Amino acid sequence: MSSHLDSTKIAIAEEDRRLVHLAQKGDLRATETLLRAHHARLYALCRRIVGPHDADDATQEALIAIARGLANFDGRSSFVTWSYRVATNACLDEIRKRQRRTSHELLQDQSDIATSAHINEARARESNPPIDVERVVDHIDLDTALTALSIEQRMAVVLRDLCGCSYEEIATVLQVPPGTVRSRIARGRSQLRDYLAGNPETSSQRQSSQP
Amino acid sequence: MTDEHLSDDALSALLDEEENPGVAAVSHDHLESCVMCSSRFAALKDAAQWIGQPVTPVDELAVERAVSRALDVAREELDKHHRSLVQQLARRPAAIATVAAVAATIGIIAPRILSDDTADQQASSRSSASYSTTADDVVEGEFLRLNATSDLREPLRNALDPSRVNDEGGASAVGGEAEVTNESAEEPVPSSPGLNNASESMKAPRRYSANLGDTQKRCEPFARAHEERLGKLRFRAQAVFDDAEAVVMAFDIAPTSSSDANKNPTSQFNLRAYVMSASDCRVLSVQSFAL
Repeated sequence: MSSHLDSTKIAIAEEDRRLVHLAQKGDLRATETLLRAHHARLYALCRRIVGPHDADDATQEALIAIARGLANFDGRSSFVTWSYRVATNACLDEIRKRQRRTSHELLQDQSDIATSAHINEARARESNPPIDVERVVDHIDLDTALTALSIEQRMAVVLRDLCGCSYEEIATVLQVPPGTVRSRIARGRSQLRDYLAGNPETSSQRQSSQP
Repeated sequence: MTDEHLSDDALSALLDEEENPGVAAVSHDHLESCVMCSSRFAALKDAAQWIGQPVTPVDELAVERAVSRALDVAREELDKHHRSLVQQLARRPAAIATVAAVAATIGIIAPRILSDDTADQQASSRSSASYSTTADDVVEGEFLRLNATSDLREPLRNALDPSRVNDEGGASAVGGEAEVTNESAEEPVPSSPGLNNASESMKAPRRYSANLGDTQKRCEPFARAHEERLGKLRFRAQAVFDDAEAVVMAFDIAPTSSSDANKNPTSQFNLRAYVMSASDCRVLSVQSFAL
């Protein structure tokens, strides 16, 4: 299974390299193909980092930044890794914009996160087979739970568990050492699990029992 | 095997197969016998799987919108890059013209300078770089659709001197007074079909997007590098020539001496019209007129 995933990754990377090369020579169709092929992946990342309310804007800014920066992309990392870096920066910009809003609007956003998530899932139900109610609740809780993490932890766990990036790749995306990535992922997962279990004290109790 | 419990950090790295292989082996051994750590390992695994559940993608319309906007930016970046390349090319002819002027001064055209022909002296010593064209001096024509360079006769006449423009024999000049540089050379006389209503066919409803002033500034140095004798710019217009977006520029050319006129019957012409590609300033065609 692992080797199958690796070979898929390699094939995608090869195709991306070909399209990037064409796009850098001015082939707009190659640019369009690249953007379309990676839109869903980038949207998913933005959705989990900034929430459903701002995911569209963050994704749009990410695509624009990719279109603008493609000429200078040097290929040292894969296109996927580079695009994640661009997208995480776009997410940070969206979060900063959000932080400038009034506290009243922020409170409204919190309830909007749950509401929007519920609406999106309702739309999905219309076009997909019925979804288990508990899973719908899980979706809402995940969006809310992720906001309880710091931005750094949120990005690390999403890049790992949703995007499937290695620690090395995440380190490149976030521009931090792999050791920092490792601890952010661990703390993020731990905090999330304890949040969902309804016992935020659990992680601190466990910490004290460890040698 | 270790009796020490594993930290969340170690368990998480173990889960992701990112742990050092030696340490991983020991940790796995511990997990087999430690209920607390294996329970915590399972909990972190659940959290990872929960975070990793797929996100419902947006609808196709939203994707279309997002990609279109990004493509608009990509197009702008491409245009900027092309404009920058053309500007770099435009700087080169100016250098060539300067070198040519210096060479002329040193003595490449010394025999002409030494002659009694003062008109030739004026022509040869005149540097193309000495002309500056201001917006006030240049007549701007309407958008033109050209089938042949001779189609310029009427618009130039209307713009510059309705009573005096005469292009007889312009492109068929002996001695190459009017050079045809494009591969699909135009006929010297406007005998092509469909030109009876030349003024109507030349007026096209559309203009291409580039600003005429910018295109002229970009392409004028190329024309001057092509021909040193070009004087003041008198006329400019946007055009389509051979399905290519083009710019038309008509320049004064230095009058020649009477001795030259004997050898070269076309020396009566004193206006040179250049049709150049708007994208890269290639010379598409040249035609002489008498004003």
